[in-house]
Amino acid sequence: MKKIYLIVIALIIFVGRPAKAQEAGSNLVSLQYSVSFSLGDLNDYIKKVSALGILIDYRFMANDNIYAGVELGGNLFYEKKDYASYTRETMTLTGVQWRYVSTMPLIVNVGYVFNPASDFSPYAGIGLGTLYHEVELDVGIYEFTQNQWQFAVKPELGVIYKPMPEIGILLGAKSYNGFKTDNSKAINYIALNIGIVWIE
Amino acid sequence: MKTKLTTHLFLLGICILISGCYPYSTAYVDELDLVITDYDPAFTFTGHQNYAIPDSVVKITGNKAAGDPPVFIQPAYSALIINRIKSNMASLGYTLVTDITQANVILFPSALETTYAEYYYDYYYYWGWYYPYGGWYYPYQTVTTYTTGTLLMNMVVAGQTSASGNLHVAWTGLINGVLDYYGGDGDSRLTKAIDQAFTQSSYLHQ
Repeated sequence: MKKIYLIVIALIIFVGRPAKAQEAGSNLVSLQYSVSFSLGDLNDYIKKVSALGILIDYRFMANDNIYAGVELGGNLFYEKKDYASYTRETMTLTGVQWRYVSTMPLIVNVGYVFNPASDFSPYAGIGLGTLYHEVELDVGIYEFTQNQWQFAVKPELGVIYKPMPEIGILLGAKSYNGFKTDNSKAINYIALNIGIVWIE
Repeated sequence: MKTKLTTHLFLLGICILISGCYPYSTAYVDELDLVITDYDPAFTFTGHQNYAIPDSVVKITGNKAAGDPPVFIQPAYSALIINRIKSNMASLGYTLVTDITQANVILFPSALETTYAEYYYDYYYYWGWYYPYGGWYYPYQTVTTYTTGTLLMNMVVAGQTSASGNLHVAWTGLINGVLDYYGGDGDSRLTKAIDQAFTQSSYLHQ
């Protein structure tokens, strides 16, 4: 709860400051809701679409078109597998499974904004960073978890609609591509985002 | 004014997104039932069709010294378990023998109960909203306990022991679930799990 309070306080301070249009030197902070679709190994583990995603994104406009920034998000994929058997080597396990994968991307972004002075400003960007994730399998009364960090690349496309100079609505798509490690499979998913942008 | 409205909308959005819909977990106690089987791939089950089984299920208590007499689970449950095992073994082509010297394999069922306790502390109240007027008080605490039952079925090869004296276990079936003292479906959950242990072990077939 303390973390949430700190985020809220920080954003209240930001929101309360005087507004400025999106241009060179401006700052953009957005809070985005994500719906995510698993791909690859993650899809093999959980096929269900994740409707539990949230993202905070900060961008600094280096000039009218180029931005750099950082994002921190969280997604939870989960799926209940009905009573079924799973065999590995000589062991067979039967039960109901609850599978969870929570991801937390921490990505540094750069991108290009088209028509920054327009009400509709499309953008394209790419990000590099880490994708922390926790894979959890609950079966019976037992819980198995594994945590890993992965290097990640994330291209994205989107558009910001600005009904007011200091407020925008963001629609975007991001493709998170984690790289597998010796201890974990690659985490890949596409996130569709909608959010509110505060422009200062 | 506009900024204040924006702030309120923003806070509302955070509250909806963060406190929203976290997925629920187990809804029914039988969803926690678990069946695990394993076997020795070097052992050929075919041709070892004679088996023996005790007439009671040993209760593992963990506090017995060597030489102490074993404790058994309630006769009604022993009968339920053993009859179900016999039924499955017959379906797989095994023959029950009463003379243990005629048995190729011996099934040893045993059971144990384990009680777990979970403690939840809510630190929301730790300092309270009244500090320093009311001082602080201890966190709100709740305790939940649950008891699990485990049935172990070990199939050992008659007459085979290792150099260190251990029995040769050719197959193991483990059934684990939360004991529901208030539900009426405990027997059916148990028999379903025993059936499943044999169903998923098709290599036992004669």
